[in-house]
Amino acid sequence: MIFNSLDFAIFLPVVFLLYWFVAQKSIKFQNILIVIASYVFYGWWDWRFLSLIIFSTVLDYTIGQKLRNEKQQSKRKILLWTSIIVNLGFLGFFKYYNFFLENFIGAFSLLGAKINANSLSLILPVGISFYTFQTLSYTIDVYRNKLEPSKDFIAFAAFVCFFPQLVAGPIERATNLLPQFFKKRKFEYHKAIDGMHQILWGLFKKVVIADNCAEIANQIFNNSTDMNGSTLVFGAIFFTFQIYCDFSGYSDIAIGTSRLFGFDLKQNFATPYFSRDIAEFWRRWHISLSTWFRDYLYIPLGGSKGGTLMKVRNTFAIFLVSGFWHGANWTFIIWGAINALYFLPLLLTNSNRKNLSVVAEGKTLPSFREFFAMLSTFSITVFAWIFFRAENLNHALNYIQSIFSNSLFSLPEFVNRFDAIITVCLIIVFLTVEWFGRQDKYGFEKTLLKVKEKYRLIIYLIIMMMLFYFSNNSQDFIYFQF
Amino acid sequence: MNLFLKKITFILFLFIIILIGIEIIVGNIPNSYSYKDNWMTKNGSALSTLAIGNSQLYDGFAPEVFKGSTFNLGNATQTYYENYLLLKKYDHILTNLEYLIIPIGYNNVRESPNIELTNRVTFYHKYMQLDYDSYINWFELFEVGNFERAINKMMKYYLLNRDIVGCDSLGQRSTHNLINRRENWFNDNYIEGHTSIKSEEGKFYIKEIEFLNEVVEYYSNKDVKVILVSTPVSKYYRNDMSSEQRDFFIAEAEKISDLHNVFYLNYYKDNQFTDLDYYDSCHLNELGAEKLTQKIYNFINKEIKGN
Repeated sequence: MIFNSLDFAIFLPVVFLLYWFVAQKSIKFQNILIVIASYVFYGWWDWRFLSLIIFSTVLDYTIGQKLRNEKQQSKRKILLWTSIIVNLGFLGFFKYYNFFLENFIGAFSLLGAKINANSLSLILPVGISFYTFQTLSYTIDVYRNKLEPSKDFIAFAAFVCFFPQLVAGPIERATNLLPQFFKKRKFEYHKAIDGMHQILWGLFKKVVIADNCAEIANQIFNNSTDMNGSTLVFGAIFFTFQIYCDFSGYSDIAIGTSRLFGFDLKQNFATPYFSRDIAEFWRRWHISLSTWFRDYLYIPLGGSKGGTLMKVRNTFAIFLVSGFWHGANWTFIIWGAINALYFLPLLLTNSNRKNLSVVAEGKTLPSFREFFAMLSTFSITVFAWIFFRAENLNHALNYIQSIFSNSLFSLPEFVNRFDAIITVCLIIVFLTVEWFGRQDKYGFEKTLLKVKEKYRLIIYLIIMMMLFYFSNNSQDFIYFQF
Repeated sequence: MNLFLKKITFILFLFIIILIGIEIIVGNIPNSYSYKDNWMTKNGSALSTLAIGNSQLYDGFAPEVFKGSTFNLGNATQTYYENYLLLKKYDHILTNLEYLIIPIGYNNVRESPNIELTNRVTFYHKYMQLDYDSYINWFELFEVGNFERAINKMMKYYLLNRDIVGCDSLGQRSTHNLINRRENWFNDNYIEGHTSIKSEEGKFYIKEIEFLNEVVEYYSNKDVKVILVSTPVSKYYRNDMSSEQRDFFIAEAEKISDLHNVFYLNYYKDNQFTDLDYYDSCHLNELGAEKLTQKIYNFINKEIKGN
């Protein structure tokens, strides 16, 4: 089931009413309802893959219980590695099997050896990269004694499959989300209203901005050989907004939906395109994944405590793995490597933590220097996204080569110029709202709450009409494929 | 909780009121469906020649050539099922009908209906009061079910003051003219995407042919002269079509013609139609339409009336 569908528009109110009016008497009932609703939500896509989630849930719950009683370090390590190997094994099999197979065959054929092996026609279970990392965080935190293992299987199952964030995050830490399943949830009016605001804004980002950008970006990327340089630049920019609004829109809907049920999820995006350097961008982009890699990969590898070489190695490791996490394609790995290269000068000059606060804090407009820094960071980010969006490395390289040709200085040619102009106007409206809300955690709600109620009502209705208007161009969420 | 639910309900209520308002406003904008329904109700009893079918006929049949009591009841992507429903609706007033002209071409016997077909259900249901056997979803019954189209219609009609009826007083499409055809009109690839016409049971066209047969049989028995017409297509379109595709629809047309002993006029490859006669690769413009209608008119006069 996807958030921008009629199915979900019926599913959500039904679950909401059952949750607060039927199951409100006990936490256990509410948790059972969440598990059932989440399985229905996931099973709507493909019931068969529910078995994977249930298996991971049972495995990590059991390992958690065993870790509670096990004092011997070597045995605790075996338990931890069992969880890691099995969980990553599933992920590796479904997501990376064919990639490794094809690359091994390719590598051996370069050496003159011919290997006959057939690739498998595997369907990638939706959300496997997200819930695998979420359950792993539980086992690792229990192993590190940072978290008390759950005694309540239902609460643990609800934590693993919590439907708002099950298929595309934010990737929650057990330390943040799991304890919320043990607390009595009370309906809070303001929290629910904030949640609704965030759902509305998330849908706006997805349906109005991302899907419109997708239509133009797809058209340009799919016909890149016939396009001039300036059109290709626009194609990359449209994709830059598509991926941001698609993914952050999903996160907003997930966070907003969770609030309706009394849960607080982590912030996943914090106006990343207003970043002044790439380090700031990565502190503001897909925060739940970046911090996951920081805590469970970068720091265990030694983090920034060792010498320069170690810092560089660890930085590259985290970016390459992050790229690979997105998909079994060299384009994602190169995208990760490019970001590591961007990061390197900041790391070597110890300036990667220079821009910790929000840009132009307390001011209406940025200084010229800040504006230039934002523009530079945005530009190099757009460049990297070309690799992320391209079908393969050749496509990316040809795309870039065509950008840097004489036609870069000709006028862009869109199949539908009117649509492109409308989309640019929508992006400007979106960026304006983002800019004025950048100092708050969830800027849109804060901005909206400053508006008089009758005007707020008009804004709700306009956004709802826009959602209806643009719903014909509906596209899949990009991060579903990861 | 109560306050929250009240607010949500209030906003949804307001939104539904807006949707109803838009539905009413858009419903009052004249269009070819409401125009044709009115025309048929008022003048149907005087009709002697009726042309009914999809866009090939909507564009390609010019009733004024017949000099009176002739109407074009065609529309874009109109199926044989919709022809059947329309004739069922107006049958009781078609008391003087002598000639029924129905197109048959590749578009009528392709494997599956295109996505546009479901969009048209709204029009036939809302403006011509046709009741289909089944609907894909209830959104089809309302203009606001396709919100983008509804808003665009409102903008065109009320803000830009454009006439969006789309047909002339005798029902022929008025917008597909030589003057406004696109630069690369011959590149319109209507064949790509629905190239498979294998005779597998349950395919869209099998049911369609059944409805055509039913209509032809009914009106033949009523002594109405039924004329099946394959409209001409440009050489560009013909070059894109395989001989298998071409032979298939011609064979179907001949089969029906033989079965019910009705006339079949095949202008598919008529070389009297030149590039100047087309709006796009498979639709005639006003010049081509006049030429085609004249040919049908001559055929009726010579072969049927014996003049």
